[in-house]
Amino acid sequence: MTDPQHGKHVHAALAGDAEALSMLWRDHRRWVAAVLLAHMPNGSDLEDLLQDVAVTFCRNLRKLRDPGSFRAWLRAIAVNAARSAGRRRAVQQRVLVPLPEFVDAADPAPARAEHQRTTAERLERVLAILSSMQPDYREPMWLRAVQGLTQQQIAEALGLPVTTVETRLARGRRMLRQAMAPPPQSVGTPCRQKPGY
Amino acid sequence: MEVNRETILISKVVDRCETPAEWSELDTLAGNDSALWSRLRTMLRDDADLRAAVASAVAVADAVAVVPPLPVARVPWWSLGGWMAAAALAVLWLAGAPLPSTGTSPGGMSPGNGRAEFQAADPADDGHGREQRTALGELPPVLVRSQPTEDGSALRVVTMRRILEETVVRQVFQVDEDESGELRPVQVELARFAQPSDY
Repeated sequence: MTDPQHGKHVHAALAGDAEALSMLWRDHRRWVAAVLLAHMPNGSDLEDLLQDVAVTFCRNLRKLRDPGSFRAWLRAIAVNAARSAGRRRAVQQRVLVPLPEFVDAADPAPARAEHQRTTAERLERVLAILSSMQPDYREPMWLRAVQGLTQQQIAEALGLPVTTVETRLARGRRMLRQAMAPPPQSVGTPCRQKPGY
Repeated sequence: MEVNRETILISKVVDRCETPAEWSELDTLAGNDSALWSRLRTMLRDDADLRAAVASAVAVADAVAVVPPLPVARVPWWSLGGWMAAAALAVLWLAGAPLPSTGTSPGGMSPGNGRAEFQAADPADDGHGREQRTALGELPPVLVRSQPTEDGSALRVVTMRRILEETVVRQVFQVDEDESGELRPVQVELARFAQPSDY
């Protein structure tokens, strides 16, 4: 996603170009999903919330005053949708996201199946650790990972100085590493390490 | 949690946004602690895992599309008086009283007993009575549902269309109560709507 192209789409969509509107959404829907995942309570339906944001995005884009603040505006819609979901639903702890592409019980090659299983477990663990972080660290981590936004672009979307985003990403990565690291003594029953933050 | 300079520099390298000066600084730090490269490698691997996990988690977004709103026919404010007749018609229609025009309404909707019903269009209907109906425009459709097709090559989108339509009527009714409290249609003099109006 290059910025000149992004700006062009925003202006065209504001002028009523339906194709630009669709393209703008396609460019940002994974990004919106990341914002929702960073803010929505466990147990919420991500697809439902995406639908809500999509409808609000279409209805309210013409109210956007400053095209330069498009990402911040879209993020605010997503955060509001996630918070509304939090008010509507009882928070229920559960496994975050199934990873079907890594779980293939019918795989005839045991070694490959084992590799996929451990990969799936590792990725699920990454998501679990990510969701257990404080929102200040969680959201920049989601946004950095989802679409390759630069630190500058993340800073603009979050309304923060770049140096703050830089520090939060570094801390978030440190937290992730510490939580992913194997426990010091691995004798006996494998323990589930709880992130220490 | 305190974060040291090394972590900041490694994080910037992972994000590929380090400056030449920062790279030199990292190189200097590694001169005193060669394990730094190992820590960089580990963090790069964590980043790859993070991206893969996040990509999997947000993939559902690809199934959610927007339906751009269609141009809306604007209704001038001075025409709002005409809505009185339209409202009276709507009440009349929902109450199941006879409509002033004949034949099935466009879109397959027809009056029912107290509620709207959807009916298949009558194949024998020659369109008589429709000449006075004019579509003025369409309000933005309401997105009801979207989901990928079975083979994943397209999206199946369900929307609800809302059409503004103009109809010329010669008789207008309103619902009134008779002596026994029963609802019944009562014809209204058109002179009541004599003010200038688009409807």
